[in-house]
Amino acid sequence: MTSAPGPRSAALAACFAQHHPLFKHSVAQVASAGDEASVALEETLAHLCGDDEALRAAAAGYAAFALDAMRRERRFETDPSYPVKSFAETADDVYLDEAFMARTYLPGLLLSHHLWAHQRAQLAFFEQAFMRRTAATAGSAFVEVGLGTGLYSRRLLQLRPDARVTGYDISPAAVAFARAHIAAFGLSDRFRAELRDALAEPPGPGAHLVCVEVLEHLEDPPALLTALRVALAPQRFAFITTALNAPNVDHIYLYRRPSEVEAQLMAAGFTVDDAFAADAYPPRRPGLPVPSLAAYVVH
Amino acid sequence: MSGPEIPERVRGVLSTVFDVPAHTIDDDASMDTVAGWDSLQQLTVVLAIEEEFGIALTDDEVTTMVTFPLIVAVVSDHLAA
Repeated sequence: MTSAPGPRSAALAACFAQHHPLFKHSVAQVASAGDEASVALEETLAHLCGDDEALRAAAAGYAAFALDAMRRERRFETDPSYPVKSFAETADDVYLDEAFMARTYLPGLLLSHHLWAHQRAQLAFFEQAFMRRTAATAGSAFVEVGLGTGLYSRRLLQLRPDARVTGYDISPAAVAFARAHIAAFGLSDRFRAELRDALAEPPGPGAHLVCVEVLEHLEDPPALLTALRVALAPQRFAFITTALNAPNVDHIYLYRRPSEVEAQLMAAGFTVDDAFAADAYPPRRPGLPVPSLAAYVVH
Repeated sequence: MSGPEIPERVRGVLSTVFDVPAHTIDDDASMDTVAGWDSLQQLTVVLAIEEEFGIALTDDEVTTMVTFPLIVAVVSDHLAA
C-alpha cells in the first residue's frame, strides 16, 4: 500500500533529491510501506523539522550517518570485526562530541528509525509486544537507559497517557536532543532526562525498563544486563534490543547471532517473553553478513 | 589520460557492477534507469570507480554521483586536480 507523503515528508524528499540524490527514493520507500510508516515520518518531521533549515540539517546529518554506516558495512563483509576500541575512547570520540552528536549522529539516527525498514519493524514490535504487556500491569513508571534521540520514550508517552518516563544518557547532546524532542510533542510534564551512566548508577526498582541499542556500545554488556535485572521488580517488564553485525562509529561489542544475546539475557536472570529479529536488507551474496536487530520483551 | 577514455572506462565499471553489456549503459544511465542501482549498490559503484581510477571520493561526491555523466564529471575533476 502506498500513501502520498505529507508536506514535510515531501519537502524531505525534495531536499534529498537536490542535495543528496543517493537517498532520493528513501521517502517514497517509506510511503510504499504503508500509511503508518508515512504518518510516523510526517509526525516526526512536522514537530522537529518544521522549518526548511532544520530539514536540510537533518537530511545532511542522515546522509553522513547513513553513508558512514554503508561504508563500514561494506568493509565488514570482508573483515567481519569491529575496531578494537574502549568505551572511554568511544565516548570521547562520539558521545561527548556535542557538535557531531547534534549535527550528524542524532538527526541521522532519528531519521534512520523512520527510513530503515528493520528499524520501523522494531519500533512496531515495541509498540505492540512491550506496550501490550506493560499495559496489563499496574506500573506506569518507565526508565529508558540510553535515551539517544528520545524516540522510544516519546512513543511510550504518546501511547500511554498515564506513563511517566525517566531517561538516562551519558551524552549531554543526547539528553538535550531528547528533551527538545519530547518538548516539541508537548510531553515534557511526564518526562525527565538525566545525564547518568546506568552502569555506575542503575535505576531503582519499580519501573518498567527500556534499553534500545545500547548493549553493542559497551565493553561488557552482561554487566549492564545484570544491573537491569536487579532493578526490575516482579510484575515489571523490560524491552532490550541490540544491533548485530552492524559496524558503526560507536559499536564495540560484536553480536553475530541473536542466540548470543538470548544467552546473555538468560545468564543475567531474565525470562524472554517475546522476541523479534530483522535484517536491514538481503545479503548481496549468499553468506555475506548483513546488519540486523534483535529485540526482546523480558521479565 | 585523454578525455574520451574516461567515459568508456566508467561505462566498463558500470557494466561489470550491474552485470550488463557495456552498450546498454548509455550516456543518460542513472539510478533511475539501471536495474539494481540502488543506494546499497552505489557503494559497489564507488569502490569500483575508486579502484579503477586510483582516486578517493568524498562523501558529497558519493551521494551525488548517481548518473553516468555525473560520475564522468567527478572522475575527470579528480584526474585533472
